[in-house]
Amino acid sequence: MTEYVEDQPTLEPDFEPARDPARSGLATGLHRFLGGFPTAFFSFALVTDFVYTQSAELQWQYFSMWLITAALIMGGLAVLAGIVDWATGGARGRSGFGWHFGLTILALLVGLLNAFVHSRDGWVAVVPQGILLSLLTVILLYAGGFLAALFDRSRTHDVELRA
Amino acid sequence: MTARLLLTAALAASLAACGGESNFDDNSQVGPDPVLPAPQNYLFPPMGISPGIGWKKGEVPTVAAGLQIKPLATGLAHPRFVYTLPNGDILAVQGDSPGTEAVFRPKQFAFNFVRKGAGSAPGPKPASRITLIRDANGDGVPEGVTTLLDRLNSPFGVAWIDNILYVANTDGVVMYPMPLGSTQITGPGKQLTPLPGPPIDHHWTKSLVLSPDGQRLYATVGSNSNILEHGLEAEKDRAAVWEIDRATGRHRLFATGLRNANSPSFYPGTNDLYVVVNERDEMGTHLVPDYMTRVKDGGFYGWPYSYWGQHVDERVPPMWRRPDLVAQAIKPDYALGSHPAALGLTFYNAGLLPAHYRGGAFIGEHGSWNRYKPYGYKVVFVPFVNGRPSGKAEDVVSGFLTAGAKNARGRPVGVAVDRTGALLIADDVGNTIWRVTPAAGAPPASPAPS
Repeated sequence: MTEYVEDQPTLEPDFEPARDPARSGLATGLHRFLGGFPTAFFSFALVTDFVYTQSAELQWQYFSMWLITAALIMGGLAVLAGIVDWATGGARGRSGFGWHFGLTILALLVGLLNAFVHSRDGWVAVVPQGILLSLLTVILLYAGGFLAALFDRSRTHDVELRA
Repeated sequence: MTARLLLTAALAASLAACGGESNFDDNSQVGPDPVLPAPQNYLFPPMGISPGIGWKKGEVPTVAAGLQIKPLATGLAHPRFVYTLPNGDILAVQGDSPGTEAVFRPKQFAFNFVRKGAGSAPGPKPASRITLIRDANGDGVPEGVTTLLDRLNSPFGVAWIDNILYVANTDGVVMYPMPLGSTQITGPGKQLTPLPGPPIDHHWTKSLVLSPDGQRLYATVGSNSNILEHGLEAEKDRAAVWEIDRATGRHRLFATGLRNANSPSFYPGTNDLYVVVNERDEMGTHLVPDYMTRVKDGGFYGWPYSYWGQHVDERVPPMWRRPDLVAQAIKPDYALGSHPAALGLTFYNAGLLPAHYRGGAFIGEHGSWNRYKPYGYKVVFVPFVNGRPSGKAEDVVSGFLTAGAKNARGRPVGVAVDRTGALLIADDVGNTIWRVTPAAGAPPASPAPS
């Protein structure tokens, strides 16, 4: 693992955090655990939004509101865990982390905007802005995850080639 | 790119909503033909709350020239409605929301937080009680204040006839035997007609009036939501005026499409039934005006599908829209401006106050929450000519808010006229019944018409 740390651009070159394997392990675990929630919840919110647009059945609108709220809470906690994970060095080795971080933050901001749109009364809580923002949130999260995976994979591939 | 477009659109919408506020002339929305700006969609609706602090000793509201105001009774527990019995005894109906609206949406947490303190002040906790105030000599100083009925279910309207007191609880009209002169009712009540109440019970105040011939009761039943956010089924038999047969308790819907009608009142000497109506929220600082209107038998007044006649509300899901009903929606008679929460209405037909007020309507405006700059929080007078509203509304009683609208000393709700001809006002935050009479030294008004 250590062989490619040197040629990676670090976000804070002057600061080399002390590696604490125990703490890093916990943060990495929490980061991974919590990180699953916003992706799942926002995905479900897109589905419940869609069902509402087809049925006007209010329960689906309520589902969307609670899913988006829960996604933001869990997403916020995941970001905190992710920052600790990064600061303690756990996430450093993963080269797609910048993409993952940027797109996740953007997705959560769009999700926050969407929470306010979804708090409107009636149809305009979902159509048209609400469901479009739900779709955008999911695209951003999926793109962040996919790009991170892609970069991680290609970097690992590079390292393997050089080795 | 889509993100930026959507963000920009959303931000522009909320900014535009804030920007227009200061230039708008509120008076352009008072009268038969209000100016109606374009509706807005908000990220967070404009809210302006003035937490209640009550009245200090000696503090009173401000009244129009030629009038004076004094407390008739203080220390009540959230009085919302006031009613004069034929013998001059006065009933102060105290009640608060039944608290049966569950948290369906995360939004309600935010709303409850922001609106904290708006409805109450230090002092007695709200009770579901009717207090009888006896001022037999009519000097404005009661000789006796007694609890007539207690532990009711969020009562609001009352009506008395033939030794029966009808109480409109939030879930039904209950009748109690009550000879005039009673100061306490101990016997059990009997339900005449159930009304749509909890669960939810978003607009919970049910008000009552007797028909001029005394045969029927008219009860107002408000909607169960702002704009259908609890579904269509939750609105069954709501947003309506009910006509109830006193003899049998049977009812029919007299008029519909009235989002939250209150204080039904017959224009003196006629069969014209008027109500004041709270219109919908979260469409804009200047939408939709509350109104006073004559209610026609079988009339439909728009809610939820449209407002002020044929203005369609786009928040109704397309599969629920009813162009057929929108087409027949009746335009109300008289707009009262946006969000004043008009809840009290009484016609003035007595002779004590200056002649200017005879034949017109006093309207109690509880005050707004859905705009930054507060509106309402006063009692206004609307002149009538030939039994129809005519001319601009005038402020009669104001000064309920402190400087800068930081706090509310009180909030007016129900209004009534006592046996002497004085105007009574129920103040649910100030926990007071106010009494308005001619100012000392003012020229005496002409005698009342017989």
